[in-house]
Amino acid sequence: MRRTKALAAVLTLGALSLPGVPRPSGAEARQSSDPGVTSSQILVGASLPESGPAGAYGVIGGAENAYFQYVNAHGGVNGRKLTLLVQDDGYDPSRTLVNVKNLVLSRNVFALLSVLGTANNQAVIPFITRQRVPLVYPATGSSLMAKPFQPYLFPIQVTYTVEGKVLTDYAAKVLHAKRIGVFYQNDDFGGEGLAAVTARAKQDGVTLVDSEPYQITDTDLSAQALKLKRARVDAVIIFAIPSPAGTFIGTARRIGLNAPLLSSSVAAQPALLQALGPAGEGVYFSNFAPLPDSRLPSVAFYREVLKDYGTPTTTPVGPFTEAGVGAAEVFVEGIRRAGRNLTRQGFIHALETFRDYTGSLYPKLTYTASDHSGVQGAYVMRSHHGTFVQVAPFEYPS
Amino acid sequence: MNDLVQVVLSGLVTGGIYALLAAGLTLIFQVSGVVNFAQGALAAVGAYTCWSLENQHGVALAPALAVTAAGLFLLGCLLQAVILRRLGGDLASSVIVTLGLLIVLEGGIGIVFGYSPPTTPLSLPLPDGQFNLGDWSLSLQELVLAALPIILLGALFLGLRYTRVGTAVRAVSQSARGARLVGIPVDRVRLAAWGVGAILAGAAGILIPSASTAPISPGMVEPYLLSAFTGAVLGGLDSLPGAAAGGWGLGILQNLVSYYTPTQVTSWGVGKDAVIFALLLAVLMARPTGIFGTAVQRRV
Repeated sequence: MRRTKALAAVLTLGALSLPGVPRPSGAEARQSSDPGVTSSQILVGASLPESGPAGAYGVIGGAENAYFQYVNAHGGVNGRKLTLLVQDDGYDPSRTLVNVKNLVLSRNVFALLSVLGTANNQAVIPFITRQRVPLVYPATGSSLMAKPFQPYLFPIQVTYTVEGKVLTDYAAKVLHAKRIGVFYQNDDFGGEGLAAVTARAKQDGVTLVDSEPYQITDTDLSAQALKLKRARVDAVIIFAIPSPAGTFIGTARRIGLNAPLLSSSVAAQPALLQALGPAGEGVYFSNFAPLPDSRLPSVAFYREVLKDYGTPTTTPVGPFTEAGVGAAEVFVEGIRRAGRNLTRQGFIHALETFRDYTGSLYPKLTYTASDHSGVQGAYVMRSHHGTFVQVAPFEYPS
Repeated sequence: MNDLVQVVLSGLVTGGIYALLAAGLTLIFQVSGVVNFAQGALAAVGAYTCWSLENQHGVALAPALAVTAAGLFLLGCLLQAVILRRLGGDLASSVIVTLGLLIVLEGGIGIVFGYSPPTTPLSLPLPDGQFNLGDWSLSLQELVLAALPIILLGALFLGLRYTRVGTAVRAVSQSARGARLVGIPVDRVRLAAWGVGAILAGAAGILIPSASTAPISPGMVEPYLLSAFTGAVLGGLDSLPGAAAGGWGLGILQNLVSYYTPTQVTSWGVGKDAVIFALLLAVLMARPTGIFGTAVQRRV
């Protein structure tokens, strides 16, 4: 008799711990049938690299949280306060999937705000589509976030394809480069950038003479830099995350590859410029959000939020924390528009009412029921004494 | 020709860091029987300590380096005295424990300093400019970065060869029992080995930001450590000069393979890592104890 009881207890515990099995809910009453929403709170999840090779992006979570704290301190949204649960995935897609499953099935978040990385997002799209959980700001410029249409994804970041076009145009038309080289991460992120530059180079009448891939685990990039130098490039376009981008730029200057360097916004990190010293002067970056030190009211507000609700070490002013606050602004506006009776479908429909929305620090954002493409343009900026200076106007390349 | 010289020089710089890490790993392994997976984390602790002293406490470089070295020595001794010694030389436990240490140390750095790179770099006063010899034009920074590990490890080997402590270390690494029998305080030698091993790791950690011109971060040593392990195994884990040579050799080899592999092949994913691990397999099949290691004889 005792053994049967024990067996029954073990089986019940086992069943309850399996994801997906309904459990008795907490003491708080729910206002809607969707998880993560109570009468006073909305639970939001995020999976970001807080450690490892892409750990620099971890500050995005801190920035999003700072904005949520600001909103909560000013009455919340429709009477509810926001709580952000950030889990570290170390830029490893398998950990991202574990985190997202945990957030959705065990922690019962209402929606997701920011999952970073191209491969990382690809790993979780099937799951969140099946679970019908909206994700605002899949933090990657991969075009795959919007094409083919993903009903549960709301990307904001400009795509690598658009960045590739903008950077190639700038190299060809402003810098008068005839021989373009590409240095890229050997995965979908870098691959998309390379494809865009290859196609645009033809259109602009310039030649892509060499492209050099790298792996995230590479410690030495001198072979790639030497081959690009040997190919006599007059501009190199870079699709790399900050650490390898920094190593490549420093190596290029050391070995005498002095052609102009143009990089995707993903490497636009002030700490990178500091580490490079003089070698980091005059490097071009594409960008789609205003400069973090801009005098625009929306950006000044972002700096205030960080000052009041963040700390200089965990949320330094810069493009990454700016992206976080901007994404959180978009998220909160969607929640606001969805109204007091908050459901996941309602949230999605609310986001799809955005038409040239400029309430966040981002450029105008439009989401429709059939197109969730994020910002589709960019401008070029240049590093100067450790900060960035805009050198070309914002454009929407064809 | 200049390209080849450049490839080798850059390989020497990276290889020097591998050699420092490999030497520390091997020293600790030989003397205490522990494979220290936390070697990279110790390197990061060294880098952050030096950075913090210079940038947060306004200490000049030379005293900062001295304090960092002393601190690392103490940390290494502490780890051996408090944690590793109790494992009694069991290899499996030491693997798990040092992996745990890796997580704790890196996490600790993250908690104290944040995972985002600090905006001020850890920079060494390296000379700018080029060294020109005929057709060759080489960066002075790289030449200095290549030379520093040679000097440090040269000092280490001289110390091991010509000092009493060094001789004691060599004795313990040959046979702990035999050393004890001739009156060598084995426990104290182990402490010293861990202390010196930690200093070697710290040296690697301080050189990495200058070599890679990238900001410091808690996990910045990990890619180097992987190759350092490979180099140490290739060279032979029971030969300290062999492990160091393996580190340097691997640094140069990686660059040569990377430079001569056609880009098309690399973009398929068959990069230098594939070549090097294939090489490792081949070497270990032919000589399981590494190129410079002594063959192990078993008495049946």
